[in-house]
Order: sequence, then structure tokens, then C-alpha cells
Amino acid sequence: MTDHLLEVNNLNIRFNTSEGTVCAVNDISFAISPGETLGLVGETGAGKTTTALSIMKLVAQPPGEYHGGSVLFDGKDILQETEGRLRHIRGKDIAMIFQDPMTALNPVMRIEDQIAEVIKLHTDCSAAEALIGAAEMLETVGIPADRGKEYPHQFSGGMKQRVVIAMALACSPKLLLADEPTTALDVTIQAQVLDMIRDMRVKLGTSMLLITHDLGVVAETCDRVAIMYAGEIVEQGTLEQIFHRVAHPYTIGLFGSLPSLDKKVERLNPIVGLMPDAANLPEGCKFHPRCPKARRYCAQVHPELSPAMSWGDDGGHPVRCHMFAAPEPYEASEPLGLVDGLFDEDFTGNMNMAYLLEGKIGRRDEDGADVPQGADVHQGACLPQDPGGQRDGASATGSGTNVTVGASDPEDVAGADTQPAGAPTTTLLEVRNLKKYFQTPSGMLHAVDNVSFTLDRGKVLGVVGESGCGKSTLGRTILGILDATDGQVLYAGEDITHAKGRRRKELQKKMQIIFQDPYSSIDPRMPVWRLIADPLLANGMYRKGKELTREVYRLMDTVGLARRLSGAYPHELDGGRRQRIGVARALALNPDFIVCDEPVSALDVSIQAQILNLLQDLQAEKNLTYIFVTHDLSVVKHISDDILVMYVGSMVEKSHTDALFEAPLHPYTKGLLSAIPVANIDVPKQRILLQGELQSPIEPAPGCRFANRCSYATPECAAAEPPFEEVMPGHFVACHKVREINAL
Amino acid sequence: MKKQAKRHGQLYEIVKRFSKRKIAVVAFFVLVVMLALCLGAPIFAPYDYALQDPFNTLAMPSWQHPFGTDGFGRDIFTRILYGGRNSLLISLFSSLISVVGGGIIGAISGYYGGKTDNVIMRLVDVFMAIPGILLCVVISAALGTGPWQTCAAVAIGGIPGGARILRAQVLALRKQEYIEAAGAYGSSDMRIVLTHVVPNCLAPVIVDTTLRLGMNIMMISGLAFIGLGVQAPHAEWGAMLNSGREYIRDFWPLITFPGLAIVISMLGFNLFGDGLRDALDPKLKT
Repeated sequence: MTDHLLEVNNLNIRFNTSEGTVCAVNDISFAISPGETLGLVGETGAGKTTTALSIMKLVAQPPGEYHGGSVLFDGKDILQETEGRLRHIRGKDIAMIFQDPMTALNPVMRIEDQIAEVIKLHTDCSAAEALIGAAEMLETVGIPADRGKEYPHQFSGGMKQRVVIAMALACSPKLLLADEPTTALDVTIQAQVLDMIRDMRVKLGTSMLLITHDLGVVAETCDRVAIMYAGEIVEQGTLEQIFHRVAHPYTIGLFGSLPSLDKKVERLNPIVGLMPDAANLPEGCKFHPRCPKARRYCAQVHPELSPAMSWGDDGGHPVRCHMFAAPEPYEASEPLGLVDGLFDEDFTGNMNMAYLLEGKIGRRDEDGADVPQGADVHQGACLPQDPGGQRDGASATGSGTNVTVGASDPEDVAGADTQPAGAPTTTLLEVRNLKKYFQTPSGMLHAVDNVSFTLDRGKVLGVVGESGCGKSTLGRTILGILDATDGQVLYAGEDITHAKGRRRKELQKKMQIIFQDPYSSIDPRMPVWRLIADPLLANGMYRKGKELTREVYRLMDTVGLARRLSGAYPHELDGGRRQRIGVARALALNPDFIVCDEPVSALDVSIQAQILNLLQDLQAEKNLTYIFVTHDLSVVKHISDDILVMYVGSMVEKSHTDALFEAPLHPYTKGLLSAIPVANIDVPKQRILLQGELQSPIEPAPGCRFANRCSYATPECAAAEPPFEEVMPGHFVACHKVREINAL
Repeated sequence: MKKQAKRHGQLYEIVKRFSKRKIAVVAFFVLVVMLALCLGAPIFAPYDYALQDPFNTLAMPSWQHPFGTDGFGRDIFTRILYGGRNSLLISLFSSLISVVGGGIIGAISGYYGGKTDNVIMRLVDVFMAIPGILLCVVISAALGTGPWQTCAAVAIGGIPGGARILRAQVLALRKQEYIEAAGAYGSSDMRIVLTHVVPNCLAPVIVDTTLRLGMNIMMISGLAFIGLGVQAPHAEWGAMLNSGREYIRDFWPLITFPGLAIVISMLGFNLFGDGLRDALDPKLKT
């Protein structure tokens, strides 16, 4: 019939919930040819997973409901197939890889039996033959066949994901659905797994639908890309079309939110606001409340997918935007844009922060409810269920000065925030040979081993490493949340390693922490104002009353939280707002020094960019000193002055940020940098693939901890621990071979 | 202003979720009626609970005596109301004591962990090893008979269970980052437990209390049945059952009505507790 392997036509999926009908997937069409990889990109809640599940007809009914459309696989409509037929197709012709390898395997079954089960189900072979097939599959994904006798808990995360992939590929499916297959993995392991998936595709000729939020992964894996937003495809094209002739404002926003590895960007350019709730989608274009190019027409008429003809000589690619679909009425209607105040107040707060702190803009009276312009404006943007009202409110009050200043020209605001002049560059924090060991049943776990550095006041140190490298433990040990095993922490010259009681309480006011997970780091039973007030109350700095309310409102303004949210409970808020609570709470005691423990890794890209900008602004404004702990090198790049790379508890490299990115000296740093998927298809990447897995931090062998993965390693490396020495001015490396490798 | 509105909102949500469970709502109203009747026994009861009528013993239900009279000619309906008052009050007090006492022990055990936890939990294990009813029998045999003694026996028997429940909750909560965060900004242990740990443990504890109320009624009646609880002439459901035992073949009302009272109250508390558990479960929040 067609030469497409899979054709999804006008697929609609709705969920009937107690809150009403949720349109999770709206009128989606795409096709995948044999051997092709399509990337489905979008933020949380865009409907990516639902789309993938519907291809196997796995959306639970009820509450799910297919509302028209077809899924043609090999010319047959999956949605019309019987359950019996579907069972043959699932796993044999179409296979799926799920996001979390930790839960995708049965913990009480041997690895080989789990793979063999899939083979037995779909082929007429004996148990023995199935086991042989399983062993072959294991070898193909790079796991020695004899390890098939082991159980899942004996495998690391990366190896489990390989097993999951082996199970998916066991019956040589024609189509592979991969739902964020590498999101739960470390960067270097992600690079290995992506490499393997690419290999497999070439070897077996499998088509693939790759679901991801990471444009970097897309750039390295896919042939074509479809961008999803609020249940619709907003742009679709080849890799080249999307990356070079990007047309839809949302896609442009996604690219703008990405911290880049190869360019030095001063500020990220996030998309304002939040994705609308699928139960309350706005009228017209679903993206218009967040779109900088929105005009009145966008709010009224829903745009169709139409080719962006003017964008290339290849016939253009489909884009769901009036700018291309209906240029005449679009041009004719008045622009709404962000100037009109159609953005989340959170975001203005962020942008206007410099002004707010200096009291240049009185945004709200103490009540927080009665100033008409601000209130209407942000209500509009926060509550997409009332687009009409929002539009009216916004245009009626569009003249609000605060609003216009912030949004129309962020550059101005950024420029206006004056650096505190003559900030003294004294050493604020000094860490000497810090060690933190944990006693575990199988031996001493060296979480932090011999870490030393100094940090000047007002500077940002990025601590980077993969999971289990001790970076979070380092932050907590410095703060005294964990008791150091050995070594010293000096704060403003004073040894605070084992400070207790009153002195510790004093220090806690100066040294704060922002946690990774905005879901578990704030008390679910407290309203927002109480959460922010808690540090103040705990330290007896305020009593409940007017003073406290004023202080809480001031903090909420500082982090860009709308005052109207002061009574809301955490479960009513999204991750970005929750993280703002975490930031406000850390700022409440007016600290000098903050440990940011992966503050953005649990957030979507566009929200991540908002929080990063906020942290950066606060740092500059208050001359704060940060230790920014993260696994994502691209995130720290534009916020850190110095970067410390850690590997299995020990330091491997420390240098000024620019120097580190330009010329990493340690082989691990080189591998880490090259493992990061880059959202750029022009620069052919030379990949240094790190083989193997991280060494266990429990009773580590003497010698270089990276030796087992290092391609330059010699017996000498495994024998003696490399010294952490200054190889170039300000550039420290712990490697025996650093001079040979880098020809210094 | 706004804050109150929101807080009210959360309670409203719980009530809304609870009201969706029809059986639980029915159970709730049955319990309310029973509680009102029993606690208001002096008002609602037609006779005095100890008033004997030697000329009208073992009377079948009639308009004068809706549930009939017992072997001493006392009105059974009256005695069920008064008996319920005893059972429910003792059950309420003993449940509160076990939940609060057990809760404090469990919270300390879970929050401090390590050796403290080990010592406390091994003691709890020793108590748990003895069947609940046997423990109560032993304690009330030692303490003597009477309402307060029964209350103490049932309460002490329930403490280990209460400790277990709160300890499990606290253990799970202790790993949450907001507890760590509270420590990082200088909250004292006491403050962390009172403002962060306890409020987050409340839901399962409330549910445990309602289920325990039903269980304790059973326990109290059981003790009274074997002669260890409330003594005559005071009324008690279990004691009434015991006295009805002699007439089980000839006179059904004396054993049927107290039995029904026990069944209905237990069923009521259990169904209400189940409904409450679903309503309070944050995972069901949308």
C-alpha cells in the first residue's frame, strides 16, 4: 500500500477523568519508513508516551479512549486488531524500551530466562533453543553470555538497560519504540547505550521511534524529528530542517533554553510560563500564551499543520503556526506577544528581580491581591483554562509599566543589574583533604576522598561528576549535615569541620542548600508561605504576624513566585515553582554561601533555564558564593567560574571553566565532555567513548580510580594514586600520564 | 484570608473524596446515631439501667420494653445504651492512649534509629509475641476489675501496635529531603518532629485510631464476657452476652441485641476507617 512501515493518521486519544475529558493526543499524524528513526521531542505532559503506547494499543481503556484516527502498521490498522492478534504483534513486530531499566526487569528471574521468555513466546522453539538465542542477544548488546545466569540486582543501571534492549530486539522487531531510553543513565553510560542502539539499528535494519526531551540525543540518533506540544505535533521535518530551518516559536524556544557547550551564553533564553494543563487547553493555538510572536488571531483560530514554504528549497516542512499557515489574517491582527503581559508572573519576577531588590518597582501592595494590573496579568498566564478572560485582562491592562519593562527587553534589565562594586575577593571557603567514608556491610565506602580546594567570596564552583562520585556528599559534608571522617572545612578562616550547637546554628544562617528534588524537599502538608517562613520561625528571627508576612512576600518576589500562591499547597504547584520555594527557603536566612545540589536536574528544559537564570541573577545581585553540584556539564558551564571534576570520590581535574571546556587535560574529563549529546548537527563530533563502568567506591583499590576505563592506563596507574598537581597555571589534574597525553 | 480559604480547601477535598464512598458514608451516619444514643443514654434511655422488675423478667420485646427485659426484669434497650456508653468510652480512651503512647515511642524509635530503635523495637517485639487478648487478660487480672482497669489493660495491649505504625511512617519520612532541609536551616530535633514529621504521619494514625476503636470494643466485650471487665450492676455488652448465655435456648433477645450492637459498631468503625484511609491517601489526590 505504502512504503511506510508505520503510519499514524489523525490519532486522537482522550482520557475521561473525574475532572473532565483530557485530550492527551490531538490529531497526530506521522510516518516511519523502514530503517528510519523518528525523534518525538517534547516536555513532560506533551503526550509523547501516550502516543507511543497507542501504537501498540496499550493505552488503558478506560480511562483512555481512541477518538478516531488510525495506526497503520504494515498496512494494517492496529487499532482495529483483536487482542489475540495484538499479542503476536507486541514484542515480535513492535517492541518497546521503557525509561526506567531499574523497574523494567523482574528481580526474581535470571537475566537469560527473561530474554528467553520473549523468544519462546513469539517463536516455535524449545526452551534450550530460546536460551541459546538469549545468550546470543546478550553478546550482541555487549554483555558476556555467562552473566545471563545472574539476577537483575547484580547488574548496573547501564547493563540493565542493555538487557532491556536485548529483550526488545530478541525477536528482531520491525519497529522499536524507545521511551526516553537513556534519561535515567549517566552521561558516559548514555553515550555507550546510544552508540549501541545506533549499531543495532544498522545491523538489524530496525525502524525506531525515539521519545526524548533531549535535543542533543535527537541530533545524534534521529533521521527525522517531530516536536510535540500539548498533545499536538507543532513541527515535523528532517534533522536538517529542524536544526537549520527551525520555524515554530516553541521549537525555537526549546533551542534557546538549552545551555550550550560550544558557545558561551551569558543568559539562557527560556520559554516563558508553563505547558497548559491537558484538561484545560487554551483556545486557538495551544502555544499562544507562551509565544513571543502571538497575535490576536492566534488566540482565536487553531492553526493547521502547513508547510513552511519560505524556509527552504526542499519544499518546506510542516509547521503548526499561523505565521506560515495563514500569514494574511495573522499579519492583520494586532500583536499580543509578551509585551501585553501574557506571561507567567513567575517569569517577570525573575526578569525584574534586580529592580525589585532595589525597590525600583512597587509591584504589589502588602495585601498582594488588589493591584489590578499585575493580578490580572498573571492570572491570565497561570490559568490557561480561561483564555478569553486572560486575553481581555491582559490587553486591558497592557500598559502596566512593570510588565512592559521586564519582558520587552530582558537585556536591558540584565545590563541594569549592577555588580556590587569592589566586592572583596577573599577566600570564603577552604576545604582541606576532606574525607567522608560510610560503613557498609561490604566494606568502607569512600564517598569523598581527599578533596581540597579554596573558594573565593562571590565565586561559583561547579562540582561535576556521574552518579556515585561523591559530589552530593561533598556538599553535605561541607555544610555539616554529614560529619566529616577526616580533613578540615574552613569558613572565612575558621575551622568549622566539627562545629556543634550554637556555633553550628550560626553557621547554618550563613551556609544554605538547595536540593535536587523539588518534590521530596518541601513538606507536602505546608502551604507556600509557611514553607518559606519555616527557617525564619525555626531560628526565632520572626514570630507569626505582619512582619513575617512582609518578609515572606519579599522572598517570594525575589524568587519570582506570585504572591497569590502564598496559600497554595505544594501538590498544586509544578516542579519549577516548587524549586523556587526551595530557593526562597535557602535565601530566607540571608546566607553568603549556598550549595546547589543539582537544583535543575529534575526539571524540564524550559523550566530548567528559568531556574538557572534566577540562580545566576541572585548570585550576581547578592554576591553569593555557590557550590553548584551537577552531573550535567553544560548546565554549569555558564554559571561557574571554576569547575571541579570528581570521579569515584576523588578529584580528577580542577580549572577555570573556560580552560576546562577548551582544553580538558584528564582523560576522564575528555570522555565526559564528548559523551554529552550536543544539539548541533554541523560539528562532527569526535567521540571518546569511555568503556566499562565506574569502579565501586567501596574499598577502592589503590592507584588511579579511573585506570580500569582509561585507554592510556599502564600498570603504573593502577599501582599508585596520581598526585593532584598544577599542570598549567590554575589547572590541576590528577593523572600520571597527563603530560604525555596532552604533550605538555 | 487567603490562607484560611486554602486550608479549608484541603479539608473540603478530603470530605469530597470521603463522600464518594457510599458504604463509608452510611457507616459514618450509623456510627453517629449510635454514638449519640449511647453517650446520651441518661436522656434517651426509658428506664434506669439497674431498675429491676421481679414481676416482669425475661419479657419479649413489646412497646414498654422494645428489646425485652433480662433475668432480673431490667430493660434490655436501656442496658444496651448504657453498656454502649461504657464500651465506647473505654474504647475511645484506650485507643487514644495506645495511639498517643505508642506514637511517641514509635516516633522516637524511628527518628533516632540505631541503638534506640533496636532496644525499643525488641521490647515491642516481646509484647507483640503475646496474643493481644491474652495480654489484656493478664493485665486486667493483675489490675483487677472495673472500667478504668479495663481501659488500662486494653490501652497497654495496644501500645506496641501503635508504636509499630508510627515508627514505619517516621522511618519513611526521615529519608525525605525536607526533613534534611529543616535540619540544614537550624530546626531543632523537637521542632522537626513536631512541625514536619508528625503532621505528615497523621493520616495513617487517624485511620489506625478508627480501626482500633472497633477492635477495642471487641476486646472490652471479650474481657467483660469472661468476667474481667465492667462488673454488675453496670451494663456492658460483653457482660450482657455472658448473662444471656444461660437463656440462649429459651430467650433469644438477651443474646441477640447486645450481639447486634457489637457487630454493628465494629462493622461501622471498620467501614468508616477504610473510607477514611482512601480519603486521606495523598496518592489518590488529583
